[in-house]
Amino acid sequence: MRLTIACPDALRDDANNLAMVLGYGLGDALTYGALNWQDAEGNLYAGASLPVSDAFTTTAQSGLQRPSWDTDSHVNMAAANRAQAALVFSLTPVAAMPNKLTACVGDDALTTLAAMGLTHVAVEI
Amino acid sequence: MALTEGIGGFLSVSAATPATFDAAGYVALSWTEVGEASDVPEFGGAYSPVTFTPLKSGIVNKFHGELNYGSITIPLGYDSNDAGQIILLGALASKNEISFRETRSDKSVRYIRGKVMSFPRGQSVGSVNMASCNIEFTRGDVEVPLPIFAGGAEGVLLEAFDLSTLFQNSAGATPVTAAGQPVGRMLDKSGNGNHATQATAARRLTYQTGPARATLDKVDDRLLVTVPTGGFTGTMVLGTDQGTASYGVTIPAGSYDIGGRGGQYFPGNAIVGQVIRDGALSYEEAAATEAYFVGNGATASYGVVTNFTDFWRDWSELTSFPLIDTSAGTNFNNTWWNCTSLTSFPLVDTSAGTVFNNTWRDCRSLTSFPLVDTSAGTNFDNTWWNCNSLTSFPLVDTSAGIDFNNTWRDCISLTSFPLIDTSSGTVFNNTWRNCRSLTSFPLVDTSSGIDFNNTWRDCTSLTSFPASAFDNVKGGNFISAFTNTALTQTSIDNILVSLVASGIAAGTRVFNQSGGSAPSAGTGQPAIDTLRSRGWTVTVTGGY
Repeated sequence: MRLTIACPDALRDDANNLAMVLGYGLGDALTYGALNWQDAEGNLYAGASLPVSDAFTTTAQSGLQRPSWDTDSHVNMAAANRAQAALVFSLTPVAAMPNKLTACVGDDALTTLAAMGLTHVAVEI
Repeated sequence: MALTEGIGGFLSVSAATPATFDAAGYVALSWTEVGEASDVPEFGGAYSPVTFTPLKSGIVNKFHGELNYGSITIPLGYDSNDAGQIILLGALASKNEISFRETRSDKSVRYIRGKVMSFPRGQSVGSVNMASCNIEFTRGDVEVPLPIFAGGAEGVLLEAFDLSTLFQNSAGATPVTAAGQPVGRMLDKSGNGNHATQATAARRLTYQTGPARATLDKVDDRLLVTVPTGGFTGTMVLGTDQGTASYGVTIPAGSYDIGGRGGQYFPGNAIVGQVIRDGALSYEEAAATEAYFVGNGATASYGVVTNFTDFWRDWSELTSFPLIDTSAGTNFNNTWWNCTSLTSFPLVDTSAGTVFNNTWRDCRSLTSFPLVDTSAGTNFDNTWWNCNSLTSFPLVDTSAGIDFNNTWRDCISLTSFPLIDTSSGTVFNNTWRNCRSLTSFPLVDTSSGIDFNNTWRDCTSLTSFPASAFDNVKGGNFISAFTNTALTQTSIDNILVSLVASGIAAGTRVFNQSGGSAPSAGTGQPAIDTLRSRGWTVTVTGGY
């Protein structure tokens, strides 16, 4: 299944630490980049979308462990836990919230983001 | 080139006739694989020798005689439901010439035309039911080779259809083996080692089959190629699930997105193949490369695409754009926005287009623009905003246009403007703002207009404005419409008198002029008095 995530500006650093814990390496620190999605109130979000296994959603909501590759403690586990606490997971699109990391299941990322109440805004890329 | 295994090759057929008997013609056909072929024997044209032996020398002189394109007999496991075999049997019955495509395991292809002369079927103990198809070829074959990076030419060759080059992670440790898996590394087959990688898991492409391709979510998916010192100046051939085309490109050294700018703007939803070669490909090379990608799953033409939103947006590396088929396009929202290196544009077919929002906005190097068909266009919001190298503009058909917000704003090099049809236009907000090289303006039809805010603002060279321009306007405001212009007294008088003559209802309205000449005491000032008596706030040069 495909998971599409809206990350508000205030949670970007925390969410990138969570992405490293759930992902594969330092490269995942760039998961949430440009703030090119906007809700009706003008709040900005970074978008990310990826296919995940059914087990991923369970892992993402379980207790976090420092990844085995992180022998030099690059990951801020406290930040990752904050992001996890802000995680809202839904099997159907729900509105993105400026204080939550909203992750929704949907076949098409752009359709899911639209259903989350977000519109694309141009930013320097 | 290395030797290539036979396993993996196959034959396809098409009952259709190509428009041209070359690679471009053949790739445009719809192909059906012939199932259960066990062999594709050698085939190719051969001349019969003609000899002559002079009595004096006794030496046999040899010449090329008649040319026979040859024949083959393909052994098949007979399958009465196989779509390819059904086409062969149909060709036997109709006696029609049909098209054949041989695909080798290295994905190179060869096309040819021929007639099916026989298709006997049989059965025996110890064998599946067999058949054989005899084909007499009627035209020369067309070979479509792999793109050539001979002589150490720099560049990139990426093939999403070649599973052996795809890996799930950026380090290349885990190969892609099945549909649905991420693509974090795509090997460069040009021999230059310019592999495309993505270290961030959420930004990886997804491998899919039917046809084999790497799909993009258009949120953030893209691979990165590190372009070496000196950059690439040459040709890009891009085969996607929605169309295939060749472009002139200049790409600076450094990181380059494969899969669209920022993972967002891409002409399709999947990559099938991509070539970037430092040094321009010839027309034939580019066509052959396009054919190669199409032969491996890319869609040949953009001709069925209706929505071109964001397709080539921010592709500032494009130095030339091909004459692709956009005839089905209705939505050209942001299509070529910020293609800053294009100096010219082809006469693409936009006749079905209704939405032209931002279509060529910020194409700052365009020095000319063709007479494209925009006759169905209703929305010209920002269409040519900041095309600041255009010195003239063609008489495009904007007769259905309703929204002209910012349409030619900041086209600072325009020295003339044609008498376009704006009779349906309601919104003229900032339409010609800062067209500061215009000295005069034609008598365009503004009769449907209701918003003229900033319309000619900052047209600092505009001295001449026609009379009766607003005689038929029924409503609207003119806030800063002529602020910072250079209007002559006659021109500002023309404008004010026309506003009085218009049918604009009394009410709280605004008109602003600054720069240029003050209205005359005999004509302009009485018009101002009339407008003020109707509720207008009027500000003009000279302070009357």
